[in-house]
Amino acid sequence: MSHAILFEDVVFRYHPQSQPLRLNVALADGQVTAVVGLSGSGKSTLLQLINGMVRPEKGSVSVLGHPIDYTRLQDLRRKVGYMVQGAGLFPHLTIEKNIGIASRIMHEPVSEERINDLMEQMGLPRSYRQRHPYQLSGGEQQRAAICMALYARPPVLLMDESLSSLDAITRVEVQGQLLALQEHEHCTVVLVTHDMQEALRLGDQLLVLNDGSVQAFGSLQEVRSSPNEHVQKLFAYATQMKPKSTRP
Amino acid sequence: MKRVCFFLLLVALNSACQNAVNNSPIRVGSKHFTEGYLLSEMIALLIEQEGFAVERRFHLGGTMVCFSALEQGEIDLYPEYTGTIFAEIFKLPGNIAMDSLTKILAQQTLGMSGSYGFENTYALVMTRKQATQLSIHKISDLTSHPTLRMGLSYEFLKRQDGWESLASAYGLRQSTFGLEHGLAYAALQQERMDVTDAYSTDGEISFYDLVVLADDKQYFPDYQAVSLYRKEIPARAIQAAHKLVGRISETEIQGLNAEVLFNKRSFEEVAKEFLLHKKLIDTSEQSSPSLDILHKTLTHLKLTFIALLLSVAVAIPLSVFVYWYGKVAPAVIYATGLLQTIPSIALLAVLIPITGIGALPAVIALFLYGLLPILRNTVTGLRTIDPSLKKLADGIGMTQWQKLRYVELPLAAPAILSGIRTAAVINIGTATLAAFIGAGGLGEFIVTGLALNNYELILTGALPAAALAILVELFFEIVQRLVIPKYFRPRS
Repeated sequence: MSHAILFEDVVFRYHPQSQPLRLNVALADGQVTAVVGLSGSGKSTLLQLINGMVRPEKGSVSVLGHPIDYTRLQDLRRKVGYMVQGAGLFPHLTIEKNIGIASRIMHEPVSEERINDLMEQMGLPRSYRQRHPYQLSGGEQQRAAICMALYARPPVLLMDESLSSLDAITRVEVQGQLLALQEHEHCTVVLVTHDMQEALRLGDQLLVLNDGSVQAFGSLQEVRSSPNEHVQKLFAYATQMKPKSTRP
Repeated sequence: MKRVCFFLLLVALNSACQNAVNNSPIRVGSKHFTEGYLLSEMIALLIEQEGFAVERRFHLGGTMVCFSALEQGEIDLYPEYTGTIFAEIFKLPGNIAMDSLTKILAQQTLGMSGSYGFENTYALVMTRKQATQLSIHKISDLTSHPTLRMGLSYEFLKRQDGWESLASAYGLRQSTFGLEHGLAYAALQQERMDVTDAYSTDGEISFYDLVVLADDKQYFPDYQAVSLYRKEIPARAIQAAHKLVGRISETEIQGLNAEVLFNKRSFEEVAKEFLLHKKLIDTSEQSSPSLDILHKTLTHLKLTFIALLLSVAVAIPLSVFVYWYGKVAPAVIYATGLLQTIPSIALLAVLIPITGIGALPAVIALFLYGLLPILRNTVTGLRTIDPSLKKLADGIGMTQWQKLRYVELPLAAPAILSGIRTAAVINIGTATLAAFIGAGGLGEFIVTGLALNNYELILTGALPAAALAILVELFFEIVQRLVIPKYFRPRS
């Protein structure tokens, strides 16, 4: 299995005094990697290292086989879809303009077919194309945001707490549609979430961050059986069980 | 937004073309006082009678504004007084013959007509009652009454040929105080003071039955009323203006001044009536006053909108620069703020030596005043965009320019538009002052009304200007509703 994203001896910190984030991880092609951890553990920073929004102090990040060229970030970002928490769409553009914006910034003709196709797969009626985001419900907005992120067929999709503002039922629905679409498009997804349920449901692989370092990384089974105390705590809380280590 | 800008551009271009097509009308200037208006209107009517188009550039402040406008070819002719020409303009001492004055002017390619037939000199006046009691008839009689109270206009106190040299020429020792000339006549009536300076043709002299003290030492130079003109204007136009020479007596002009001042008639009407009476013109058609208001309102709008377009064209790119290079922000905002604090009249006065008079300095001044509101609003608008949207734009690979075009400017549009709206309303108000430098507009009514003490005339300018400000507000309200979609308005 080849690697879509490779962190080699990466060290990053926001301030010289702050705790560094250290990464030495390879994320496999075509997989969904769910990154979990407490607030401030460096989850969002990990995503921003992938699309060059932040630059490592040491080490290198490679995306799709090439180390990031920080002088040509726009090229990289057009291959890496990015969804941030809360704002996934531009409020002043219609849904179709939002979804097709990648074509506009690359000076290419917008593919109507692709827009229709994506909207259909995410369960959005075609009549929504002319609407503005404020005319859609939260769940519909998130679906449209996913369409927008995937429009240009990016090989990599980064999701930063993208679904966390949805109610539980809608979230499960959108998660299902996202998974189906991801499989269909065969894209590599890196998903940051504080919700263990979501991580377990979507992730092929799980990456647990704490205090700026990787506590565990691998398939669900592998991580679950990790002796790491922090990892055990996370699982315990997610499944409403007592921590393993305190069992008689 | 694009469509609106395009429309405004069309309006501006259209008006610019119209200005170019007019085949150079004769531009008649006037100083800012009753007699100046009357004489200039007569000249204008006489030239129009000859079939020329005439542009009336009245309300041109004082002597220096008028004369430099004539020198720079901003106006073609205006009425002036011989004494003023050599004392105030050429700073020459003593009296001078009209011939030599004509020679001096000829060196500057300017011409001077003969006297209209009257002299408007400085004079000292007092009430008939007191003059008889104290038997004062001439200025030298004042030396024996050193306790008389002299209330003098500020201009007379300061002028070269004013109080100081008059007092030393006659040996006068009275103490003086300054007051606004318009108040002096009332103060004389109420016996708050005894003597004041006046123009010998002031309508008030006959109205209040005042005594003009004889200038027995011939201290004051001659102030014969004449036309000053540029020699290159058509000879027929000059001849037409010369018809006034020798036709107006001192009593007649006093009467005309009083007619405007006390009977509250318009100077246009009085001037026309006089020329008809003298059989110098033969038509008696009236120009419609409502058309006049419409015309001045259009000029007003033209000034405001051309200036506004320029402000937008400069302030928005400047705002983007300030937004991108945050360090220069305080300097730029401070500089435009400083411009805002310069009083409009002062700014206009400063611009005259550089740009001359007329629409250009007015547009420049309005343009400068429009910068700050647009700049401040645009910068604030750009800075307060939801940071996560900026992050999203970066994240999907937009360049800096793309981010500006597709995301930042559209999202800042409501703020930008409200800045433009503020600038427009400020400009409508400020543009009334542009009349002082001959730019036209509704301010002409206000300026004339102030000079003639005519409240109706002031309101004729002030009410449409106020209405215009309200209309501009409404216009922008509608533009905002059309251009800015609902997503900016609160969710219901």
